[in-house]
Amino acid sequence: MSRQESDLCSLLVDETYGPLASRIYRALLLHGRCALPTLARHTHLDLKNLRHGLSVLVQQHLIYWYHPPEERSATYEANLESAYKLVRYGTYLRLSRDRHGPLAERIVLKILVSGHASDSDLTQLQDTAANSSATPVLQNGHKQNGRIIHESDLNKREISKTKVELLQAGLIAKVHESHFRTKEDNRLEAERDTRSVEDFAGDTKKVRSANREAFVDSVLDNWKYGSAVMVEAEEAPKKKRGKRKAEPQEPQAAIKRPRINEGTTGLLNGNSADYLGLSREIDAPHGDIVYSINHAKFDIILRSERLVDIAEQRICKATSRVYKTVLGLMEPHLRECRFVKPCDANDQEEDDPCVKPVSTADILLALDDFPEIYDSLGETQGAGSDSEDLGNPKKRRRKAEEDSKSPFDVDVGLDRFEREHEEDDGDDSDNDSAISEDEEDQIADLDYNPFQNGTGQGLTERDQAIRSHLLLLAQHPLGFLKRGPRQSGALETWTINFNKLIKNVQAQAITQTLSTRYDTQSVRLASLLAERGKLDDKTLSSLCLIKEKEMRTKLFTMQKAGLLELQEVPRDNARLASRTTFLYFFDHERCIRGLTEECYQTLARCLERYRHEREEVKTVLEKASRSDVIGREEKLLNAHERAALKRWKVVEERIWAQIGRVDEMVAWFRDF
Amino acid sequence: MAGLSKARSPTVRAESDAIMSDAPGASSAGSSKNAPSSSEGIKTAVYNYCLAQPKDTTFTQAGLLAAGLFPNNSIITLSHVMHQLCVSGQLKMQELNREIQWRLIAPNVTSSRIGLDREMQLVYDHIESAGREGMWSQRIYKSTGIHKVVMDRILKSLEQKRLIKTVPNYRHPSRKTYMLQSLQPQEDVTGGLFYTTGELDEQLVQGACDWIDWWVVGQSWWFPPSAEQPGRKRKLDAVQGSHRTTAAPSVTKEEAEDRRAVEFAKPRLRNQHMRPYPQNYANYPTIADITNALNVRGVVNGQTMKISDTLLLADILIWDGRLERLKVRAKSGGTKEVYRAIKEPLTLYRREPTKESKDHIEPAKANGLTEAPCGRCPVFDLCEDGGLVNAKTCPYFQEWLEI
Repeated sequence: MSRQESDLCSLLVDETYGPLASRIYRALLLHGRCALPTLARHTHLDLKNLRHGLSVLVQQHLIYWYHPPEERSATYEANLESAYKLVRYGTYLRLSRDRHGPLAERIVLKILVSGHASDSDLTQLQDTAANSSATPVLQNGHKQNGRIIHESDLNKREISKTKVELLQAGLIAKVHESHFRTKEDNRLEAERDTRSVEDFAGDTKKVRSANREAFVDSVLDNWKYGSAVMVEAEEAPKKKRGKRKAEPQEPQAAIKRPRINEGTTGLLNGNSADYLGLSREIDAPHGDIVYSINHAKFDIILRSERLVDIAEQRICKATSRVYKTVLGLMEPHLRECRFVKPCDANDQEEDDPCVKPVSTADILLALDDFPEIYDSLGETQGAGSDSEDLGNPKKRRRKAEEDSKSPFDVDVGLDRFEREHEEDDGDDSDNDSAISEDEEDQIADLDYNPFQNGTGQGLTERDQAIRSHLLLLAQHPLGFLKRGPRQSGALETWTINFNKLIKNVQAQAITQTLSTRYDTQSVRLASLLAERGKLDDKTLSSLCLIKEKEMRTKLFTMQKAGLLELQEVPRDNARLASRTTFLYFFDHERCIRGLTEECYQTLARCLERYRHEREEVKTVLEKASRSDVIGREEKLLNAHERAALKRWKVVEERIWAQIGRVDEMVAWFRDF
Repeated sequence: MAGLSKARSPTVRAESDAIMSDAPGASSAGSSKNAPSSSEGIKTAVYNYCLAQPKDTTFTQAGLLAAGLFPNNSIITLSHVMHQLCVSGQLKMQELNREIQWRLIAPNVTSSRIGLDREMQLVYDHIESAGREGMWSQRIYKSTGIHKVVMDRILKSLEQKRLIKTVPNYRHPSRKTYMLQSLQPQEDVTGGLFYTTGELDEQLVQGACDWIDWWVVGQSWWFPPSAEQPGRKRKLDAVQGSHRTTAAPSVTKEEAEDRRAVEFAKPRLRNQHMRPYPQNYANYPTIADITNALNVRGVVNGQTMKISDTLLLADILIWDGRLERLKVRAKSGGTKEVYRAIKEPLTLYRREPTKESKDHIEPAKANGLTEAPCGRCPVFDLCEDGGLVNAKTCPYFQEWLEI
């Protein structure tokens, strides 16, 4: 936790839930985990207020709390992640509206406002429709959206339908007791609930403890994703059941604690009873199920959206739409953007085991038709006579060759021979040792079409067109898409190495920051160092072709800003400056961390400025929000007040838009 | 001094010629009787013998003895004579595979060295040994052990005699590097194509980079034909038959250049017209193609570029975020690296400066962080709530909000 981050989070809490909550939150941030009496001492609050504030914070998932059975009192700890997510509430609402309609937005809003909501809370939505638009989170400019729906439409059935839709999409999840505890506490709790090592099968103690460890992990997993797993299980019960059975022993004895509430209804009934963990999902007094927002899923959706934008920027719109479909097909199988793999977290090249490959056929099925599929690659709509040829990539390519080649025939020619014979490629001789086997396969794979020489099953023009977009994505150096391993008889599949892709996008974000803050030459130096590793300035200047003097200034500026690092390697024991080699290097992780801190600080400053601006027009705002003034602003406000109000609206919009944009950077650097 | 050495050289030459003419007699006479004169005779004979051999021949002891130049094939005489010749700068001794060899020094070089004293010769030899790499003055001091004041005088006089010259060293611009007058400095001394007199020619680099970017854009992205003449090229193709390579260029070249000229006049608009080629497009330019194009157009001051030079530029363009490297399948079955321009580069370059700004570079598109005033704030680190610099009184925020 950095100072910038904690500052920002307490500001956000203060902005949204007022000074009482933020005072407690800040104290928790400052002093770490506290019990109630300690907290009272730190905050100088009486217990009544303190309890009140704590309950707000707990309800909003802004703090963790844990009450181990052997202790007398519970302890509290600040939750930075969910506090930061307050910035993203507006985005959540937009996403849920875009994907599942205005009603879904209402449901999400309800849950966001009250931290979590039970079934009965949600069915009462229509009663609270008018109130909900006055909540503070709506500053992001979504105010009017709630009013689109007429109250009469909101019958129970529709609400429950939308709710299930959201549940299935994973945007909301059932709340589990463990969601209120830190990771460490959850592990403690899970370990306490699990039998001792001796009770596990296994020849040696090592095996037994490994088995126990695996079991604890699976319990934790269940606690964390319980609801999501359950919904999936309802969709495909057989498949999930099979998987569960495959896991190592699941002693029923693991569930020592009784359920908090035995009477469960709705989705929890029946087939989900044997799910561990679900037994402790928090149920409301009336037997309702309680839902909360699944931030992880929103991150995934948000990431897909941003990736589609980047694909559009880098390739073209039609391709980005195809990409959107692919990502959409992958989303249901992803639980979190970043999977922490303790053993091989550094291995960038390895495929993420949790990304389920998508087959071409699925993509073809899922993709809506749109005209740009056919004509966005290398040809115009104007060339009507040729349109049927364009389906065939080879013909298209030949056409493209003509187009591009003819103007510069004078220049090329060195390997024109090679090009003429491009068509009949087939031999597998490999002369290029610089490229790894795997890459080689990938590239070679891209030329392979399983439908052309396989079973004779032809592809329609549409399929060909879509497939060429997929191939284009797979070819891109950013690594948008990766073609699955080629297997005879198997369907062609596509997957994404998110680790690699996100790292590339992060690098792009860094270079963009550098290029606006400094200049292109600084970008050049940073990318050069990122690619080549540690270099001294002599080598650097000969590679980047910048005058040495200028280059040193640029390097120094970047190093001072913490974007580059400098290593001193003394050549002898004297350690004199003149006898020392200075090696510059670029550390991606460190740079990302630094920039994230800067983003936090920027967000905090924006918020501070926002509050300051609001303070300046406070009286006008108060007047304008009076019930007798609303709707009659022209009459009751004087010109000066109207101007102030108008300016305020612009300022508000500008600052919040900026906060959203900076948050986008934070998301790339931290969450995706 | 220079005049003197020049004046003397023909005389020496004449002398040696004179000796050469009666050399056979002298050598055959068996000159052991009158030692001083015959020693001179043998010297001349050996020198002439060496001179008569093809250029760059090395002479070994055995070879010289076999030539029968020395009376009684005396090794002592041989070593004595050869030493004399070496001292007088006519031959050079070298060692190869633990065997001593001699090589002839060209008569004009010898003549130029005649006026040199010992120290000068020593310095000259050192500089000569460095060859095309040149020798740093400090290194000469160190290896010869001559005092700096004396050394400076020697170097100055050698320069005046046009025996050595200083060459700019791009790696160490402040170092004085000496080299024989007749040699051309090596590329790792001058820095290659992009350095003129040891200074990096940034404009040249920039120009070449821009040109490559511009050229690769046209090669790696498809531009729809302009609206007023749809299908013009197609018709032409049809008229001129199937053999596209010979007929079409005159028209399409202009057309393509026109198109791209438009794109580059309004850089931000260029990507609206850019369409990707399908994945199996075979005409993405390789590094050889780019080099070829650069050379045909004579972009770099009409000099011929090598692939390594272009690779340097291509790397720079990639680091600048203007090109990207793709790996595609080559016809040989392996893979080859090809280049594609990036559709929306970080900064765009205008071919011609516009009225609004004379700069060739269009400012970079900002991201979330750098758009906010804080992202570019010079006092960002000092800013804190309640501090001297804070968000409430921030003039940058004020400016940003008033836009």
